[in-house]
Amino acid sequence: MAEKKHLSEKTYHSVDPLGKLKCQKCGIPLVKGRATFGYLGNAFPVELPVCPNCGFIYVPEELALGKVLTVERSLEDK
Amino acid sequence: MEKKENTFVGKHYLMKQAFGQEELHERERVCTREEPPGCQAACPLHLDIRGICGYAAKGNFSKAAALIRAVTPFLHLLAGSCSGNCIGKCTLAKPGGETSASKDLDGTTESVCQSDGISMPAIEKACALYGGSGAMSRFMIPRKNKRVAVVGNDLFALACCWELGKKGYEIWWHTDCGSMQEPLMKRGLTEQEAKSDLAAFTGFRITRKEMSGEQSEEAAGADRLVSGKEEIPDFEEIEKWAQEADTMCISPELWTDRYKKIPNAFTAPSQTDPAWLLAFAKHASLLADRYMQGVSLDDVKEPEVHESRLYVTMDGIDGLGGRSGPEIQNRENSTEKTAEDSWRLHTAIPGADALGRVTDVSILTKENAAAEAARCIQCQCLECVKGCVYLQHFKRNPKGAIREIYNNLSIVMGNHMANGMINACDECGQCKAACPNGFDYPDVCQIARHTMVETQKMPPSAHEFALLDQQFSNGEGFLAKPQPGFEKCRYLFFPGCQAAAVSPVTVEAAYSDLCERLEGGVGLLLGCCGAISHWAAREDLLAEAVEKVTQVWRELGEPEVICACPTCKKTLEEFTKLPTAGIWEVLLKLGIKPIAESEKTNGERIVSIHDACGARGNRRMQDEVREFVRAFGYQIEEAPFTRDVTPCCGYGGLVKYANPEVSAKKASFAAGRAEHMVLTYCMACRDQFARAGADSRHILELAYGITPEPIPDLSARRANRLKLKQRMLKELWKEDINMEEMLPVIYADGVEALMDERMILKSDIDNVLKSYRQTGSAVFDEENGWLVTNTRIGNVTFWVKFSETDDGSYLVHGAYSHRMTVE
Repeated sequence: MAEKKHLSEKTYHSVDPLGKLKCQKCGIPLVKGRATFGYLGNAFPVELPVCPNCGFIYVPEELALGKVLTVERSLEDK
Repeated sequence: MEKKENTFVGKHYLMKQAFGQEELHERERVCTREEPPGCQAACPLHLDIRGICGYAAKGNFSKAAALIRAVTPFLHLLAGSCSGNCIGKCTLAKPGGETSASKDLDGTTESVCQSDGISMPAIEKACALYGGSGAMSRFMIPRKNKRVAVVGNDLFALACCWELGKKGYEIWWHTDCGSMQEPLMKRGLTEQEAKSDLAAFTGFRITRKEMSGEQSEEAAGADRLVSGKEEIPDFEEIEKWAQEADTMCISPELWTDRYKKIPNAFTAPSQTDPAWLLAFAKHASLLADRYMQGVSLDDVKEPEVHESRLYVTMDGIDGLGGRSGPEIQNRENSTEKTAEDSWRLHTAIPGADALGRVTDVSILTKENAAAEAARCIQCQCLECVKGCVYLQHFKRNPKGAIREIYNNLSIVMGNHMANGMINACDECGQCKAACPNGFDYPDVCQIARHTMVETQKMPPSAHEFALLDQQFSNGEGFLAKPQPGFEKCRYLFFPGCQAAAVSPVTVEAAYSDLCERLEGGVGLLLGCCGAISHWAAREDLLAEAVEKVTQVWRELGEPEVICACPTCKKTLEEFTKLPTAGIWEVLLKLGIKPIAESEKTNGERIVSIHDACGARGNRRMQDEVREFVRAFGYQIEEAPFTRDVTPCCGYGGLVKYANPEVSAKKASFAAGRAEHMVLTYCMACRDQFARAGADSRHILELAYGITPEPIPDLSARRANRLKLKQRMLKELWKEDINMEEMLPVIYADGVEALMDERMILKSDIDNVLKSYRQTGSAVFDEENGWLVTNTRIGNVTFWVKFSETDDGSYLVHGAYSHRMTVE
């Protein structure tokens, strides 16, 4: 039986770096890491490409102009 | 104005009503668009004549008949004896109404004649002939356990039977009539016509009871009165019938005052007009129905006709009736035929004249009846919607929209669906000026925006860019100086932020001209009047801007402010006591040299004027601008929707930032009205027109012979203001200012346009790259071979895709942003 994910572990979106992204500063590949989007008092845990060393979080253009923009607009009209 | 204080609802929600329900209703009442048209208001039965004509014009007599049968089943009766009160109230029949032109075969106008009102009796007749049976499905009729006694031999009794029968009551009809057709035949209908009208009675539970004529004769005396030819049943008998039933309707022909003692008996005043009689039968039946339900009878109004408040113009009406020209999107029952089509249609129809009027009711066909109905212009008031792209875009009318806005503001939790609509209004006032009653929609939008700001419900992304632009104008881009050689000035030139952003050369030329020709010194003020914060309902920022301008004015010796922008002028007049003048009136006084024919732009001699929103309602300003333009030797041809009803260019109300799509549509509509070069007297209008691809000039560009510069993007609009300030300071006041040096950046093809669309400035890119230089934080995208870095500036995170070139500059491949924080 699959282990149930705890509510606090829930993620709204997940982006895998697929080994194609590298941190320029640290020179190491980005990995899928936990991050939180926040807007107008709301928080959304997500998984984004993150540098395991310096913690730089990468938000791809597709995500910023897609789901992030949609959620921003929805929250602004709440 | 009725306003309520902010209150906290629960723990987290700041709640404030913009205005109360009473004020909402008061505002709604100003609009008369939902008032019945003149014909319907004049009909005792208030038939939906507009709807009937709409269906009949399309040849759909079944639906047309259904509209009449919803009110009364007696179609043949109405057709034969309706007094046609509506005909005289038809807009087509009103003096100054439709002037119709009948045409020869070659289409030339032969004669002009005043048209008649729509002949409803003819259309009613056509509905009776071609509208099918009015029989209701027996399953549609509810069954109620109450009984109504109807007493009478006339149309009133028959109408009561129908009114109450369709509601499911059992009816005992006390009558001397030998058949149900008799009351109709007595009014001149043939048996067949009567039977046709009575098809609607199918399935009703009507039991005919003899009125016992012999007994009536024997009981002659105090209880028996004779009214006309009808014999009156005696009182005890009526009382008995009333007791047998739950309620009773008595024909006015048989009514005597003694029956007033019977509490459940209802009647009506005597009527000769059948339409009125049917209306009163409806009224009496409604009273009976309510009596049986135990509901108050006080609120039931007697039938009446009234004058319609609906405002109807003949704009867009062709000579043959029916509307032509561009269809308004939400027009109901619109027909697609052209005037020419209608004319061809009408001339080919027997029993109709060239105008489509029925000439011979005896040969009433579907075709000539449809032609008659097609003359109906479907009266409705769309004055506000006609010229407003915003209302057309949202498919709203101001009356409906203010209720949506009211509800939107009343929501505590849930989605505020009307936010977008509120922020897409340019608050230009065109709809208010166009409304015959002055419905003030922009005021409601402005109140709504204030409420949203106060309750922290204003979407932060809507106006932030524009407000930052105002901050820039009154910060980095701000300049206030007396004319060189003066400490105090008699005048202060205030071109406005848009003129400096769009055409800095024009500002320089105008200032130089004013300094040369005006005595007493002309100061210069480059900044924002505060209109942006006014549109964004940010009172705090408006006050700041106004104070800043006022302070400069005081320091410069309280000069007269010469505005080059009508909105600046209006804002200063509304929020300050500064004396203002338009630059056009100042230049007119100073004298204007006409432009030689050979030097006229594109050889144009005729121009159209696009009036600015700031000049709405200001006839003087509108006239001055026209005089100014004529002085240069141009002729003016007024475009449709001019002066007070000029549409907004799409910049007003910050729509350009809050809803670029509506803004572009508005610009395109405003620019498409004129056939000639358009002259504007607001630089924002000129910029919007240029974006819409129209040939346009600002009147100052015309005055100083300036060829418009390329359309500036958002970054260029800022750069123009900074460069203007730097240049003027250096040239006139011999002052140097240090401009922050920007990194060397090259933009890949299409990136600048994309940035403009996404409202990303070159200064934002510069900031992001400078931040990268400091931190070195970036992601290398191996697939595309570029770096991606970011910086949070204010409330926005900007991302830049770039690569470093060998010469140390940056090649930008793309940029995007989001408002969410990420950590």
